[in-house]
Amino acid sequence: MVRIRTKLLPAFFISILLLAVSSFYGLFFIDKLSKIINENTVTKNASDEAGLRFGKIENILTLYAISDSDKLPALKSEYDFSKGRLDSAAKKIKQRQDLKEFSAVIDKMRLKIAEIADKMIVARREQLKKEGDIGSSLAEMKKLRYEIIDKTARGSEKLKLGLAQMGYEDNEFNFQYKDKKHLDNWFAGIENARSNLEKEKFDLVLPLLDEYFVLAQKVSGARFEADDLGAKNQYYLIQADNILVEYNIAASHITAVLDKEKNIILDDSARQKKISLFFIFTSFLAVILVSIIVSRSINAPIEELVKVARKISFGDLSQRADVNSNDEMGYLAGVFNLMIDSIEKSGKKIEEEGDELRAIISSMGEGLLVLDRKLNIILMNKTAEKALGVSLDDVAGQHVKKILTVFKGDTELPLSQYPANRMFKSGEAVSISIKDNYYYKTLSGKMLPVEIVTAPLFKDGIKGAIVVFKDITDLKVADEDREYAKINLENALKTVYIERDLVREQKTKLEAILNSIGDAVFAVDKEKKVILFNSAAEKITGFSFKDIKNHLYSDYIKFIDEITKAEKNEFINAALSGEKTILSNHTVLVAKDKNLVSVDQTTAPIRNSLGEIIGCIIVFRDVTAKREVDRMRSDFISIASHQLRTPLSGMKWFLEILLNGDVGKLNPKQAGIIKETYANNQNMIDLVNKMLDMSRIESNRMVVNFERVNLADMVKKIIGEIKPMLRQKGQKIHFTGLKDTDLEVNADKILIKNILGNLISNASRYTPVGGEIKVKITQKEKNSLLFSVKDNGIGIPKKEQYRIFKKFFRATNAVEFEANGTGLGLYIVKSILDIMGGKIWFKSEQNKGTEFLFTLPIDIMWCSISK
Amino acid sequence: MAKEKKKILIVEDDRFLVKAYKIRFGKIGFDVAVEENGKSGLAKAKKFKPDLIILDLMLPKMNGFEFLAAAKKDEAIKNIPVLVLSVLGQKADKEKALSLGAKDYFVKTDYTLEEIVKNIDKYL
Repeated sequence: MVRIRTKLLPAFFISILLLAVSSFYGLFFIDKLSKIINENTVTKNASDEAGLRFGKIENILTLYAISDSDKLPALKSEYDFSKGRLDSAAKKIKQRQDLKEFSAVIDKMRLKIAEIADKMIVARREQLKKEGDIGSSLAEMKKLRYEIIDKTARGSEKLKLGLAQMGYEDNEFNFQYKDKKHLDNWFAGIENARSNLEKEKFDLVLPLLDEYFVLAQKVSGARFEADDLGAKNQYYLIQADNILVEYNIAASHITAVLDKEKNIILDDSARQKKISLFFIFTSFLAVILVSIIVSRSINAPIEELVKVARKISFGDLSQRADVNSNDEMGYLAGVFNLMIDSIEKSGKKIEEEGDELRAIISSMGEGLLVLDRKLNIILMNKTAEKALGVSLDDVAGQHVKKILTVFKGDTELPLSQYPANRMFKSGEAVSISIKDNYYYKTLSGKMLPVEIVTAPLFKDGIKGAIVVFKDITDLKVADEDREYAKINLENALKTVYIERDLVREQKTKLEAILNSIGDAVFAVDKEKKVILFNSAAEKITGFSFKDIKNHLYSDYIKFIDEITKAEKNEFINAALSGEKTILSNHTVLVAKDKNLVSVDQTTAPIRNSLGEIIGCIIVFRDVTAKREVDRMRSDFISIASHQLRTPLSGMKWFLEILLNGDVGKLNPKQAGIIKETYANNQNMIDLVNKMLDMSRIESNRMVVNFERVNLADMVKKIIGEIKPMLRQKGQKIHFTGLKDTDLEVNADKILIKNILGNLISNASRYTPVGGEIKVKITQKEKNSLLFSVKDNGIGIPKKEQYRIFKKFFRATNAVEFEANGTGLGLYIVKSILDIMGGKIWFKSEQNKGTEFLFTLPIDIMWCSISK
Repeated sequence: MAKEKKKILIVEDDRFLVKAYKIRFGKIGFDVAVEENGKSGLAKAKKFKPDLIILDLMLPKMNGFEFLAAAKKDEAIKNIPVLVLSVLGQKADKEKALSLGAKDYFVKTDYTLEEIVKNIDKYL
């Protein structure tokens, strides 16, 4: 909603005019105006003021209005009485009694004194009045008043001093000073008034003069003359000193000041004139100010609209008029803005539609040609350009025959038969389909099979043709292909039937084989559904092929880990992705009756002739018995070994006793036999130890215990323990490599001792007397150690080297050289290294010597318990 | 060398081995007492108050481990050093014996009597 409040300049100027007229009217009827003004403001104030002051003065004057001058002696006695009271009061002060009460008494007394003094002044003035001197009476009054007050003041000064000596402050006596001050001010005002009057500051003076003359009138006894200046307003002419004052009784203020000859010195009209002048001036200012504001508020919006319109005409549709006032200008600007908005919108819309159209034309899969009536090219889209191998820029305006010729089958059509011309003739759209067998021959000679639709382009009649064509090469080919495919399929089908019969035959044969072998065989397809299940599998699992055929194998057959009891399925997944796996450790099958069957199994993928995996086959075997036997064997070995040690140690010690001569001296022959017996016994002890190690390794009970050890110290210790044995054969041993480092490794001392012990004792055993053994340790990579034990002994024959790590194997030259030996040492060393994650290999040449090398990982974080 | 008569208690059930001990230790001059099971071994230890005990583990009535546990609790004998001589070679057995208070542990087949005597001297 727009508030209509016209700000149009003419209307406003008219109102200004009215205002001016009224002020001039006011000028001519000034007293009316001034009355209104005065009455309403100045008069009120002045009379209020005068009234107030008059009231105050009245009070004082009543004090003066005592006419009985005979009362003087009575007054005097009153004065004496009061004075006596004051003296007794002073005595009381000396006795320090209630001083507040005392000061109140003092106040009362002083007021009383003032009262009396006033009375005395009045009485005196009465006397003077008779002598008729008013001017001096005023002065006298003043003088007297001052005298009394001074006296009182001095007296009270004394009192004040006296009280001050007793500790009282000034402010107890302030009231007295207020009175004095008041009177002082009043008299000072009168004096001021007189001097201002002389200086013609009329308006300042008047209020005071009013007072003065009222007072004067009362005091002087109202010597006045009635004025004949209009009966409506009554005036007093008051004489005071050498001037006459015209006093308006009704208004209670002075309207003029005249001299003795009644000539006007100052009058009110001056004031009134001043007032009206003031009003004219201010109204003039107001007019100017308002017209400036108005013109701005009208002009500014108009200017703004003009500015915006100009910008728009230059094409800048983004501009809007910035006029926000709540009136017609604002409304106009608002409507103006809306108009621009809609222009802008429709402009955008047209642009968008144009863009859309362009996009459609360029992206459509069909070719678009726009031709005029003469078949000249007006427009072409990208698809058409591509299909025909031309660009619009090159051929625009040229005849369509320049870019293509229309064929039906192998026959070229005359121009009149072109679809566009046929359309022009008939006036209706023409459509050519695949069945019509039309072709466009392009500039390059390519024959493009096409479907065509052509429609008229209307613009005051048919101005041209819109041709839409589609390249149907693919469709044509597909058609032909379909025929061939049909024939091929029929042939293929015949072959399939023949093969199927063959396969059936083979399948039967396979089934027969599968059922006869002892191992359980089952196969699953890619979805892990059971497709094969032989009788051995049925026996072991308790399920029949009939029951589980085409079901998910894991619904029935569960393979679990022996120790963790968790289901194992990864081996089938691995096989289905192409890996051949063998699982033999700790796999247990859960049979139909929930029995656990230990199994060893092999899994492999099944591939079709194309090599694609279509399933996997699993062969497994019940090894419960075997495992049981293994365990028993292991345990047996353990128990036997431990039991064997008792007699072995007995023999060892007895032989020692014999050799020591504790039960009698032996002759050399006897000693020799005993020594040999001792050596044999030692071999048996050795064998027992190795068998224990072996049984531990094989039953997976070998545990690696890591501790941080100083590598060099550990190896030195091991060598130290072996040295005595070497000394017997006069053999030397050297330790090189990391022998002097502080390198600390995480290692199992016992196992390393076992490995090194075995290798070094082998080296010693298979090296003749006086030979040399070298032990070297180096750091291979960041976390791996390389050990080397090298001898210059009998070496290992090449032909037998591949068997050197096998259980119980001893090379032929080794057996020859040293009858005693278990054939277990290297097997144990390799097994230990396998567990620890190390590797062992050797270099050997017969009769030259052998070097065994092994690596040990020493990574702190690495650790593994029995596999 | 002259040895003052040190008392050694042997707790071992195999007579063959005991004989060997007696010959060797007797030669040296130890005062040797022998018991063939853990229970009587404990009783003898209290009475005989040996300076050292040689203890087998595989004993009837009360095996070596039990002996060690009991000896540990007995005020009279808990301070007598015990050397275990056994056929059991596993690390676990050695640790168990040592944790039960044995001063040392030897696998019989790995040590000559001479070596054993050297160790006895060490602990006496």
